[in-house]
Amino acid sequence: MTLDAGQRRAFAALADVLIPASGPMPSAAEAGVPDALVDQALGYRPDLSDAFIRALASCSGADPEAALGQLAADSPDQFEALTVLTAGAYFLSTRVKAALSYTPPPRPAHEDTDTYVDMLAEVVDRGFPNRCDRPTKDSR
Amino acid sequence: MNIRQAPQDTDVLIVGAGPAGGVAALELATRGFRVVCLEQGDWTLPDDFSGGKPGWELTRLKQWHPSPNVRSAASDYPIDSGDTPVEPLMFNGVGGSTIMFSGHWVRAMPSDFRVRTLDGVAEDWPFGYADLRPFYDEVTHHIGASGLEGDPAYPDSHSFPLPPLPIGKYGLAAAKGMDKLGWHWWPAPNAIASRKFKNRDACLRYGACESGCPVGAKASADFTHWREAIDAGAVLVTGARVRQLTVDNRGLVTGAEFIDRDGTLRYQAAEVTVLAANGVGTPRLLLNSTSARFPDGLANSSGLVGKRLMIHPYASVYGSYADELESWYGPAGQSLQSMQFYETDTDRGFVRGAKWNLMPTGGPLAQTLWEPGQDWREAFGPAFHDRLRRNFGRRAEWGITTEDLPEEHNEVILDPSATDSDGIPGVKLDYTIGANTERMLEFHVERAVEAHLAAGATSVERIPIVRDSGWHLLGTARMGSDPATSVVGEHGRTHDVPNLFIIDGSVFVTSTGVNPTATIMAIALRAMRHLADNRLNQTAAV
Repeated sequence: MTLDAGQRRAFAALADVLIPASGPMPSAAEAGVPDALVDQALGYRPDLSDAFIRALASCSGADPEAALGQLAADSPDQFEALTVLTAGAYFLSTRVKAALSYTPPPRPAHEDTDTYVDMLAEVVDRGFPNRCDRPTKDSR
Repeated sequence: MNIRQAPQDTDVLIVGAGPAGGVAALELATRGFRVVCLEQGDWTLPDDFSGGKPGWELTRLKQWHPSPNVRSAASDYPIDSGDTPVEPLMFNGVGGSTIMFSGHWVRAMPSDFRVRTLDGVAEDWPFGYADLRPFYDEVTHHIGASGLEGDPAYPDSHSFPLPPLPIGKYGLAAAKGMDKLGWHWWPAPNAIASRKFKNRDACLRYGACESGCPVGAKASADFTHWREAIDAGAVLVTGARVRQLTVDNRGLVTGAEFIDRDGTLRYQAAEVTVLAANGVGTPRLLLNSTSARFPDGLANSSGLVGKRLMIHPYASVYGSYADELESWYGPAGQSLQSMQFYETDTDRGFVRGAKWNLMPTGGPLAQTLWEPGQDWREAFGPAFHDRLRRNFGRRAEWGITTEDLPEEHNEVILDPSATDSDGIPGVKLDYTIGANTERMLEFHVERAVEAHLAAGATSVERIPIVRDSGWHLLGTARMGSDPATSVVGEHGRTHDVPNLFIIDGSVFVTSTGVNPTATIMAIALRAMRHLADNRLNQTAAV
């Protein structure tokens, strides 16, 4: 689905309240969430479209903070759709990914036993006193 | 409605192409049986999954959600879970729930098979750990599990064909905490390839195991068994939803009516039928297979089909740490496991115990989701960034799999008011958490808090019952030697119908306190090898 101009304006009014700027992290609008990114997110989750549109209609024209509070209390399905799509779109942003400053997968599964092998020796030395390996009828 | 006859002469019909069905198909096809398997779902390929792709974190909440009620795919069937605190999870397709499981490859403990003798609760199993051990070993090496030999929690030093997966920074931090407390931990065994193994590539640590492995590293049964079984001659029919098993006037199963993906009702005859449709799907089919001879459902003279459901209530304790722990990396999969509080200590106020698994916590979206009922300002607005900074990459989960004991009032029943896409009744679960398990959960959650704090966590979050955790669907057609109190014998043959076998998690006598897939596959292999070894004595429908 594609948002019409009014819906996109209504969403933009909410997006920066939900995700304001903070330190190196851009706000939702600065990240481009109300533009192409929310369309991309809706493409991944078309099942949320109806609840998302209803959320925008519910909040349209009202004070954003008050409207969001009302929506969360009265229509949790709509609030959930709105926030999943907003945050989901936010993390699609290349600017947000850069600001998060992390190296995402893939990463080869290199063995790291050298980091803990000495500790493991202590685990073995401690033994397992609670272990229940008394003879069973099948091992007699 | 006309019923079309499937053409093949078939020795063994298997219902369900999950891990148990895969074990059966491979064992029997390589032993010369003519095998047909009916599977209601379809194949998935690694590229079908969204892990590693931009839409992963959004689609794992819907299209690749482990609950069939959320996913609502055509291959799923409705499960009324409104009366259970735990949502049943599964995948319907080739590979079954191993497509979406987290791959914790844990064998049960010797005590698990004799809880009546040791703890005075439930019943002992008809066989013990030593009987199952060779099958654990064989399956472990066949599927290519990764792990480290020598865990002192076990009485034997069982081996793995692949070295352990990395425990990561968060695993190392947690291990140091466990050492401070003097508690058991071990690099966790996983059904995930740490190196290339047979037809599977090595893990690339996407952490997307529970929404389908995008690189084909996980030991899902489509990779570990089905391709090889088909090469050996097994016929796998997908999009084939079994409606009912049929019986003859001798009370033998003669085959199955199924509906193909075009909506045509078909019939598959077989001399022997094997059910491997999981602890919900198997009782569903048996209860739906009524006849004049079996008015209460097939193989149900004990009245226990569908009853004694066990589901392993699961708790999570999250710890947030000041240091960057890279906890977005998989496998998910488990980094560490602990059996410190697995065995009974009656001073704790309950019997039996739980296995702990340390797991990563996923990508950024997973750290910022709002929960209904939560004040929105705790999740969004300025709090959005606070949570993101505190949790992303800095949060790890001690997950607690508790052993719930069998109780007859916990059951799977047919729900004719809700049908699947082929008009077959869905099911309803009636399940409550027992008092012993409630006490167990309370105890373990507090110990896991201590473990996080000893490891340096700056804050902890307790989730005493995780609703979306019902992977382990067990006990609804239990094993035993007495036909009055059990549905199948120790090799899976039903007491009532001598050519009908059940080999999935339904047959568990008790739930154990570990992830059950290794045990399910070992039991299935033991049962099917026994069937093959004794084929000349096996009663068959003609």
